[in-house]
Amino acid sequence: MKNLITLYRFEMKKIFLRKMVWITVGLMLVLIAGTVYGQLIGTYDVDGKKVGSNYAVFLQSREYERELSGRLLDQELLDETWEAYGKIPDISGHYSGTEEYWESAFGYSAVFGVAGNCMDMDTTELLDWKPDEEELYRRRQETLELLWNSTYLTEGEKEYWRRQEQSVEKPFVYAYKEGWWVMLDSLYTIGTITLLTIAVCLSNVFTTEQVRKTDQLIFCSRHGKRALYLAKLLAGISFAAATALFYILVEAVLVLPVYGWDGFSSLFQLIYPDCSAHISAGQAVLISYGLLLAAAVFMGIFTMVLSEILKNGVGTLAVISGIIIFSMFVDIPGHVRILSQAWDYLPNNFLAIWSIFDCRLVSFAGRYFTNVQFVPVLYMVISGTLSAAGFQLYQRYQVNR
Amino acid sequence: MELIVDRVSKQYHNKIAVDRISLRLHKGVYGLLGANGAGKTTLMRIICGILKPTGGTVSFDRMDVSTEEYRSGLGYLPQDFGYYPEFKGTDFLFYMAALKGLSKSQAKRKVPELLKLVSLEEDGKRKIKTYSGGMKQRLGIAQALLNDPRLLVLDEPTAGLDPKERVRFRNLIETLGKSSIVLLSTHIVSDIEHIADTVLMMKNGQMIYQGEWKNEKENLEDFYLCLEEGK
Repeated sequence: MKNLITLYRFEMKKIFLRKMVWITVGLMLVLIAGTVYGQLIGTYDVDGKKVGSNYAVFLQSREYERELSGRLLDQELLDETWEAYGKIPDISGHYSGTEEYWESAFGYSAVFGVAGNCMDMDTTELLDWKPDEEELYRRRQETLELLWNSTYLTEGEKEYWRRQEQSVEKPFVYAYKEGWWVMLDSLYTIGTITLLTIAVCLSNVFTTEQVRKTDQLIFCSRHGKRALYLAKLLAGISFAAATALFYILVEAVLVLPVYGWDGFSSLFQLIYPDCSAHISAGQAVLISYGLLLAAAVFMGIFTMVLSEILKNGVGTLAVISGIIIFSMFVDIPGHVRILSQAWDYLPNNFLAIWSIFDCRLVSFAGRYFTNVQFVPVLYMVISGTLSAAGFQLYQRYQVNR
Repeated sequence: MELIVDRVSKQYHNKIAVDRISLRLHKGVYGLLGANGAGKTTLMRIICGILKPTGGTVSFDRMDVSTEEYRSGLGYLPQDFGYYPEFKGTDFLFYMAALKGLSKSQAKRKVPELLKLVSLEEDGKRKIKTYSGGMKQRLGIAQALLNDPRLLVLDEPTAGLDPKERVRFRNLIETLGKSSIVLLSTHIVSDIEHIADTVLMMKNGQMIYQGEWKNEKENLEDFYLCLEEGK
């Protein structure tokens, strides 16, 4: 056991001593900063006319939204919003270029947006709509039913979500939650960045011994065939988890002080109306980033075992990058339900708000499980199987050069 | 103390690298001679458990070659092997010590001792990538001795060493041979002539000669060349 800890430390050292690791992490940090601050850089233009800097518009919007925080999304707020939008003289064109919009309606644009999302209406339909609280929530239910039908949910799944929807309090309480929204919005990018970093940095944990011809020394040593496999695997898992945690921390440090910490307890449906889970925006972020951690560990194990199978670090990296890129461009139609759902469980497909909080459930032993419940268990089972298979391969390794 | 190699063979597709070799080795130094491709390295790898034979068995004091116990008494210096260039010399030895099952205190005692033995005590804190070929070879010798092996397998151990180091290393092997089984292969016939108690000669995967050299009257090099040429 003591030797295992020592070996684990040396394996960690081997990973961190590679220049490629530091170069990759450095590049990814630049990408994270670009993802987080991209929307605050540059100018906000309407019809080619500069309205202000994106940052100034964001600050103004934040101020208005904070003023609305805590208010119920009820008849009173809807009336106020539509009254403000009614002041825009020409609602048919690019109304956001008018002075009236910026003076009256802009302060309510967030509420306008939430209502539009709840009823799945575009701007023209919304502007024609006569505000009615009851209709708003009735239409939200109808929109959800349409979504459930279009995603081929079974009657049991629909019933599950109807019960969930009943537990979501209405009228909604409006809240400023931009910081948590940005965290969720950038999850897909951060997820891809994390998975790529892991693939680059761990694809040679095992193969380095063959490349450097140290395998001969290792495999004839007492702990070279058992403890070392475990030490390498644990070091890779630790690196994968540490990478995910580091990127999450960096993102939180970049996002929350700028966009704001407020809105942790706000309704998740304000951010993602397609979901009926009774959770807050902050909880959704914690769940999503917890799953990023699980996906990172899974990817770490997958990368290491694949490299053990292929006996080639570059080949491993090529296969994983190929899968990531391919899955970005290929989508399996929803009517092929099982395949489509399984495709979304690929780590880089899964790490997105629409996959994590997908309404498609997994039925097992008479119970329904959401992706949040099912996918980590799936990753654990596959990781365990892969680790065991990798161990068998590692044991059979022979120095044949 | 007995190493038994029993009818060991290794076949690669159409080539037989090691052909039904049987040996019984006891305490002492065994010099393995043979031309390139004779099967020396393959036989040594099989004895070290890093290559599975097609047939036959290897055991040391009744411990099968595949067991942890067998490996815990083994020291191996391969002919062509690598290091971790970013590791310091001491890091490498501490890592190998952990792999060989030495406790921290044993490793702390053994590493400086071996660095001194191979004249690297001044360079232990330097990164391996700054080492010369000879220094790397000496570091390789040091790692092979970390666990005080009872079975020491050395594949071309004097390659890259300067003449002074070679003489020092020959003496070291002679000393080690008094308490353990040392099997060394080399192209340098004089190395074996000076230190080997028993000479083993391989050709085309077969053991063509096995015996104590002091019994022979002629020059070992001439004797070896005669056998090689099949005279």
